[in-house]
Amino acid sequence: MSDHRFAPGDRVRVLDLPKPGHVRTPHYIRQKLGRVTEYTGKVLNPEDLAYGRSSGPAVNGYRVVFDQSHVWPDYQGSPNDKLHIEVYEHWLEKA
Amino acid sequence: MTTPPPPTPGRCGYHDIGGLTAGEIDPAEEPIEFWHKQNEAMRGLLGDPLRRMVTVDEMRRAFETFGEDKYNRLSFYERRLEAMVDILTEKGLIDRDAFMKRVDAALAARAAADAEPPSTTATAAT
Repeated sequence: MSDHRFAPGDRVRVLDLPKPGHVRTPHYIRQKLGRVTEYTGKVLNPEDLAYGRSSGPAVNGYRVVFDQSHVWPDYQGSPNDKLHIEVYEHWLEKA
Repeated sequence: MTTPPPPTPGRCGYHDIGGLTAGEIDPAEEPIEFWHKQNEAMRGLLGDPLRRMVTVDEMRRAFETFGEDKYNRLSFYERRLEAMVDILTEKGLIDRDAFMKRVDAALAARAAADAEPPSTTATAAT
């Protein structure tokens, strides 16, 4: 059984976690709705490594695709433009 | 699809500037200076699998906590250098004051060498 929560095709929402300090989820993508395109595997969490905590736990990562017109309300480009970004599992919920 | 509420203001760090208005971008290439290469070589050694003294994640965290003024004042390589010193200090691997004294001594030695008149090599005719 796989130990990651999401699979390619899953609709997800990016959480706006009140996590202080070093995080890897930029502000502009929080609360946006996207679709998982790829499971990118398990890595030590950079949000822990940034504080010298290198003993884990490892976290799952995903490549997630968003419509640019959804991310940027005033987007001027093509409605087909996409944003692909890697997000760690603890920053995602099922949408 | 419902429009999600905007992210909580004030939660993002000063470095998290994606999507903000930034004015005009100056596309001029900055020349790479020798000390930039030395800086990155040191970073490579400090972070290699043998030492693991300073990781890129720790460096990012360090310059995200410089404070906004210092962060904006420093160039890319200056930020990285300052962050390395901060992390090495935090881990007790160097003493910042002692380190800065050595930097000052090295600068003074250089200034003194520059100020010294060129050595007069006697070309006395015989």
